[in-house]
Amino acid sequence: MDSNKYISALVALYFVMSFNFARAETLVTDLSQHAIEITSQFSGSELLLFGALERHAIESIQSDEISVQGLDYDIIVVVQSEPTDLVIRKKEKIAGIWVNIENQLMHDVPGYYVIGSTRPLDEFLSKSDQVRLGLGLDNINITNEEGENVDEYKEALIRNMINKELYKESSDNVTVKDEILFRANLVFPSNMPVGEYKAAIYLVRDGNIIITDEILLPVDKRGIERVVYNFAHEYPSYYGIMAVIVAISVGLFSGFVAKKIS
Amino acid sequence: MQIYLPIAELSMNIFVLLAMGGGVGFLSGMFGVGGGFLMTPLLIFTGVPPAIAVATEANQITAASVSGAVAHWRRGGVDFKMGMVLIGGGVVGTYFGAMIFTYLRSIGQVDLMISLAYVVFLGSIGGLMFVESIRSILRARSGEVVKVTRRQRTWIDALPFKMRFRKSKMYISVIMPIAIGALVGVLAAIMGVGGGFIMVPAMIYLLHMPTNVVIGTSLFQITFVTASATYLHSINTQTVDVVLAVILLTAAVIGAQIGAVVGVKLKGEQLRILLASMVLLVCLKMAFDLVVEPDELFTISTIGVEGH
Repeated sequence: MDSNKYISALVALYFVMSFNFARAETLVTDLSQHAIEITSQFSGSELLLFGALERHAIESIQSDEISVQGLDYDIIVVVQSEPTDLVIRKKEKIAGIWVNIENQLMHDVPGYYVIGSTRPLDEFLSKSDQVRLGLGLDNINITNEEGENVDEYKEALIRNMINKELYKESSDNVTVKDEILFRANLVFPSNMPVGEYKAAIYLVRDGNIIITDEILLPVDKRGIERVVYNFAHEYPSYYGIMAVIVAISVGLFSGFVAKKIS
Repeated sequence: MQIYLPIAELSMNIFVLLAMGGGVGFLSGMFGVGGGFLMTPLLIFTGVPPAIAVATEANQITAASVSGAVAHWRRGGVDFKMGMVLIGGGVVGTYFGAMIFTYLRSIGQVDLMISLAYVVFLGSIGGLMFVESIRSILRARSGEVVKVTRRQRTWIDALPFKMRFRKSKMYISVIMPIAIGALVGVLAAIMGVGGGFIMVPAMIYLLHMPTNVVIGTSLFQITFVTASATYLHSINTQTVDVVLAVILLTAAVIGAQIGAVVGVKLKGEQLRILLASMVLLVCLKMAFDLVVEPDELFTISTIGVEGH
């Protein structure tokens, strides 16, 4: 107990002293892939986020032969897509059938949000930090318009997203090896939204976030998927004409072939 | 093997899609129907968003009906003048249908409307067909002969704006064909069906058109009306998935050829009962999904955000 305090003090001192020279720790992170391309065979994707921690602080303390046991690092990895606006609709029974009755508009909702850490967040990071940084499914910074039962809708939103495998919180998917190397396996389902994703990595020690790193991960449609999608949304009128021409020519051609065969 | 559908934005097994296309194609070949009223619900049941299922089916039916229309035209089975009148009504119908569709989609009610439309139409058509084929089987057993009576003059003959249709050898008011065309147009836009199951009986029993031009003329109209629905859905809601349509279509063409061969071997009444049961089954499934409490009462959507 006392030795812990002592080390903390020492580390703090070290921080102050080394302030002008170098950071105490450095974190090197990378993704196994720097973009996700949605092609016609796309059925979801898996990525590895990995990195290494250099612990200058410890080394220098160790060189003075001071015990560093109990000085633990924790890592949090958060991957999320660009926030958008969403409508959440609620069904109610009317005249025997289930009908969408009420709805609630939500702003700044990430279409994909996965958080992983070495341990449950509550064990090593204060609630206020979790809220401030939007860490954890309960703390995503979703804003909403005024309305009754907003919490109910927010809960429903998160539940829906978890069911679609677009939201996930786990406290064991970041693994650390030899207290230097860490890795997190990221799973992206096929229904993932496109856009610019951000992977944020937090290094936590003694309840403080000491290093934050960020990697961008663009997710976009490629090839025929991209061509068709963009064409449909940018030139809807020409797309409609094209769709009709394709249908008529395929229909006539297949009719012709079928006649030849039979 | 999975295939990612660019507009539906989901990944589906291509063999499942081919099997669905082939299966519905087989049935449509066997029964001589378009198959839209089976394919759209099937797509919805497998998880394609209902709005995309409807718009994509409209596109597929354009392809499915055009070769039939050409074949009938070669045999002289298309009344072009009547076809144009029906198309005129049909295009107006699709315009209003697509407008309703777009509005309901923006307030999150389009899925409900599609389901209700299917339950109502499949229920009534399937029920009528079922009763009718049971009756004719019973009649055939008892050896009763149906009396062919000269058709009575009705209020339809009294309508104004008469026009001569040489091919059909008729002189009738254009109001009724335009109304029928418009109804079919609305259905094409909101249900993703060709509407042959409405138009063929309407042409026979309401317009009293000669049977040799009924199928050809209806296919001719369906080609243009579903093309119009495809175009309008593309502009309004961007819900036409060409990739999905082409996959389904390819399988459907092959299925239809096999179905047509099998269909010849079956008796007309048996076929009708089979088709009626199938229509009723789809209707029941749709109705069941509306009545049973869903596992999740909340749904998320990116559509309708602006309309707040």
